[in-house]
Amino acid sequence: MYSRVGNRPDAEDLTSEVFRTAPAPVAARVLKGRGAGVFAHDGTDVLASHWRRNLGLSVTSIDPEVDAGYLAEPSGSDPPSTAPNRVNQILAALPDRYRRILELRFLEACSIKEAAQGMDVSVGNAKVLQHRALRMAAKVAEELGQ
Amino acid sequence: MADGKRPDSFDVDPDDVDVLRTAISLRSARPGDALPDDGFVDRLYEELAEEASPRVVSITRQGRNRRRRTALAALAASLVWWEGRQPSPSPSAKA
Repeated sequence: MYSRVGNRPDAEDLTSEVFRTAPAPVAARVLKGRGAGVFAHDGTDVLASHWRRNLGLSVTSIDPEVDAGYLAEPSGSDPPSTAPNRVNQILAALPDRYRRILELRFLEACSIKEAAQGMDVSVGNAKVLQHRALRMAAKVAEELGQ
Repeated sequence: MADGKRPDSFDVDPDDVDVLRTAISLRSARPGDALPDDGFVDRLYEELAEEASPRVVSITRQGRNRRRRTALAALAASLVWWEGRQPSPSPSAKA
């Protein structure tokens, strides 16, 4: 769920909501066994409803056929996600400064102030840079077919 | 979103959906962020297990029991007070 919303508070709320679609004894057993894949269909609905409620449009989705396997992965193992590879591809296609601001902000957990200091620009410039970098990254992602 | 905060609700422009999707991809690629927080999983499990347990007394039932105990205590207190107000038999009456 986290990879679909990009923030922990929403991911945790939506995950709880998905588990509460089932009777508590069943949900507790599934959670203990980390076999959340059985809830992939519920996850699809909960996520779709989340986007409708908050943004009015669907931004990301869960494909039960594809994502059930990922959701069923046991705890402690890295999910078999290709997301880091996709992100690396996108970042590699960007100009240096655009790539750097996105790395600092999204991957290295820097605040906008820290990122600005790291790039030796003002906070205002860092915001503009980040905005433009994101727009270009979205175009690159589209070209890469994502 | 870059700071991992929950974004406010707003009507998104269809042109911005791709940008949002890209931001989500970037944010969720942060090393170590892919797995759920153990504290969250434990809390959710405890909540579900508690709901599943038949030994757990519902809040409604607890409230009903408390009201019943309060009513009984009030009744007992009023009986004691009422008895205290009854005139004790006079010595002449005893004779």
